Amino acid sequence: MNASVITETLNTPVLDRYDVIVAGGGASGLIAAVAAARGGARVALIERAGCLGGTATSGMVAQYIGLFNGTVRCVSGLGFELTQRIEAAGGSDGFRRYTLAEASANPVTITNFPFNPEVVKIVADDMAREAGVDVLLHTRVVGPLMEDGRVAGLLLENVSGRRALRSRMLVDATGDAVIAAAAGVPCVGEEPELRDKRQPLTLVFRMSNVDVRAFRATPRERKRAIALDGLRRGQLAWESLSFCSTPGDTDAICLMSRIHGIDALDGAALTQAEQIGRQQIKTIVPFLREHVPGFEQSVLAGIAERVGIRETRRIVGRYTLTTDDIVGGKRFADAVALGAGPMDLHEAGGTGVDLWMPPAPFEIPLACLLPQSTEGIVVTARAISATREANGGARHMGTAMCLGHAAGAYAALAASGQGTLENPAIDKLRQVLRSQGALISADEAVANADENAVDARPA
Amino acid sequence: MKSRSNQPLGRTTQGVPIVAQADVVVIGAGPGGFAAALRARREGCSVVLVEKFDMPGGVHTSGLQGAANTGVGGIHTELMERFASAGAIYTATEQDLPDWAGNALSHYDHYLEPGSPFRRASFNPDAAGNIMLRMLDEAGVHAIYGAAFVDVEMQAEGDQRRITHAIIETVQGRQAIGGRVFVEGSGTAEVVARAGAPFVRGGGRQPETVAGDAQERPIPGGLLWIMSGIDFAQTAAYQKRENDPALSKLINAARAAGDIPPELYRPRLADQGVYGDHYIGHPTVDMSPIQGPGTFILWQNVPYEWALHMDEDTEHASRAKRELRRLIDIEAAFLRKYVPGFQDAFISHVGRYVGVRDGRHPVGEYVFSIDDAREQRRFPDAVTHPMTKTFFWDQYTKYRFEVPYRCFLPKEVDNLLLTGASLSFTFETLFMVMRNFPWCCQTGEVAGHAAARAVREGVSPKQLRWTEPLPF
Repeated sequence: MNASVITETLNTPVLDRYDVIVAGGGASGLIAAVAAARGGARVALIERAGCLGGTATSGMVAQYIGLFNGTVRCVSGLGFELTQRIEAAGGSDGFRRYTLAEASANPVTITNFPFNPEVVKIVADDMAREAGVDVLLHTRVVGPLMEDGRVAGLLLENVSGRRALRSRMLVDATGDAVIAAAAGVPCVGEEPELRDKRQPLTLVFRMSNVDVRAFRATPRERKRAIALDGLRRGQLAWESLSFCSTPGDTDAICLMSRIHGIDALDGAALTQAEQIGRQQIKTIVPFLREHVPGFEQSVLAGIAERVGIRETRRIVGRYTLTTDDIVGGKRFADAVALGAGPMDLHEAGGTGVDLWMPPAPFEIPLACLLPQSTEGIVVTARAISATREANGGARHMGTAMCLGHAAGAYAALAASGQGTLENPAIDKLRQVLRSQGALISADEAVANADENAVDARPA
Repeated sequence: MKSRSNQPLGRTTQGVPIVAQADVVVIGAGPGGFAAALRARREGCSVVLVEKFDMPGGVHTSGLQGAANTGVGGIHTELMERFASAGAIYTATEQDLPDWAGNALSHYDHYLEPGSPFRRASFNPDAAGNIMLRMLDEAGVHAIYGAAFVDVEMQAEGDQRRITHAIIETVQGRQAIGGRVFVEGSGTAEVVARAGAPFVRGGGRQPETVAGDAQERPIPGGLLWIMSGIDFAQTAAYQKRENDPALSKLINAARAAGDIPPELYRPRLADQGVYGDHYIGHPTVDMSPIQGPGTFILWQNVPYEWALHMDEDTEHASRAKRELRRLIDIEAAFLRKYVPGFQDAFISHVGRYVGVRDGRHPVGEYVFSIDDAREQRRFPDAVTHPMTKTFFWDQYTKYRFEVPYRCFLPKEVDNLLLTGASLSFTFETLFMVMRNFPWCCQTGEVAGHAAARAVREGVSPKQLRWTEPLPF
């Protein structure tokens, strides 16, 4: 045991060259890849799981939120198209008014889009294929291919072995800024003092044969009493009976585990998180069956194949979004995406949650997606440049879609030589985003709220 | 500036004699108007306050609603402390009323476990009114009592209009009071209505389950009255002995004998989604201890079915006063004749004011809806730090949210600030929690502070930039 580091010499075959490579096939990466392809780029989309959709599918979080601020829709264009296609494919009954953390001390009612994750897998395949995106599943991103200090491609591994792909532009949609960090982009989120402050992780599970209507008919104070009783008994992980139902109201997809003190960028800790999550589910399931109306005859139908992560690493980009920007309604000349809220900070180490809605849709500038000096890469989803608190309102999947749309469209422009880090051709980018139906101005979103409205039934 | 003499300061364009001129003119001295006047005066403004009754306090003094809450800070805390130090607060506990917690007759404490400890604090409405009156005098607010607000005179300024004078009716006839900033403290948006600014009538969205006739039925207002000489121990003993917790046997007997008409002790419109099933109909006596042993306050509400718009219809308002006084008489007679413990009881006081729970709702620069509370929304122009309130409409859910300064600014009028129950809120939100004494005091302080800042900075309330919550 002399050497703690070994040196490998690798001869990595370069498979292909793309205009745009998108690393990560979650809500943001999927939309980024489709946006880039529709922008005329040749696009590869790399995903570690066996399906696209990320948190929505592999993570089994069966609802999109962050699409509405009150009655104002903040997501249009590709993200909204995705919801409409899921609905058309029978994967959702549409938008609902939904109370988050219903049994907690501080529930907040929002508009969400619940769906059956299995249908989303199929719709995501369709959207990528129709756009002409080359998808590689079961493929891990290893790191960037660097040339002259710029990101020039992606190293990856899958069952075929280690390979490289060249890119003119790379979209880091890993959620953890995996490529950006390895490319030397300054990041935050790994500081040791954050160890016990990070947002908890949640391993989602699905119960079948649930009488969802019976549960919904249970008064809120009764649900709260049940939740507090479950906490006292040590059978619940936090004070919430939090789940969304799939179309047909037969299944409950439960966001009820809560795993603290995990650095999700540490392989051993992440493994531990999955195992702790399953231990929690082992005690939650019998509690549901014994104490919660509607769950008497339910069965555990599935556990997500990976734990849901709220907070890891974020880049320090050309601008860092703050809660003051969000509450103050700051307007940006380079706004490319709209956030909706809610602001959502789970009490670190605790059993509660601080949830609140910003006053209006908020603008996110392109500068939050761009590194300060590294060329060839744009970052999207929850790894953008924002404070921890601001990210609590910008990490929702609806917002991730908007950011993905912007990142993909920007990457396609940059790949064709129409934008650089120093001169990102913001007018052209905003024009492209608008032509693809994206909402990029908070004032316009508010002005067009009636036109963009949807029917949202009570859950 | 202002004149306390009878020498007019000239006449308005309509020819009304101007008797006073002030930085800030407040219409209505309920908790909102009271706190607005006090705050603006303490921040150095000259203030005229117009009140139709003989003391400040509104529904909490003239209307007898003497619930004493824990101080929420600012003027509200100051009031509670002054009431307490003057001996004007009476607190009943399980020592005084061992069978009160969980009692079906208890307005506030019926939901407690029977026999559990409780503290029910109330202030003496008249004593409280006297203290509030003195506080205004100490601060140097020019208060005009017994004067009815009747109109405004205005001036156009672009798409906005400014109020120049409030017109009041006094023993000397019509008089005008000039001001730079006006404060709506009427509780029923009378100033907004006279100024021609937009508002939503009371009696908004009705549940389909009851509104078959498309009548707009406001959340009914109520008249409070006080009965003394009650020996509640006897009543409680009867409730237990005869297993008659809600006095149903006595009520039925009295009804059979023709001593109770159908409109007294109406069933709640339960399970029909009417206003969260609350305050609609009192199936039995509805009371709370208020001023020492044997003295209780009782609630008498307008029947929901009558659809009375007391804030805007003289006949409706008169009918409410007439009918509620009649019902109070009938209820008092029933209690004395049928209910053990009430045989020596007597009416000691009837409120001067039928409380309006659902009057005009002004449309402001922001209209706060119940969804804003449900979404726990925050605002850049929040008037306070986030507050947590319990919404019984939503099964006693607690929401934590902020209210924007824009709710204090009625549309179309540049120099009017709203307070209390006349804020730009939808009716559910107001009815729920945003109309009680503590909150109305806070809104008054916000308006008073905004008025004073506007005067100091030489801008209108609408031009004022509100960026910091007011600490309480």
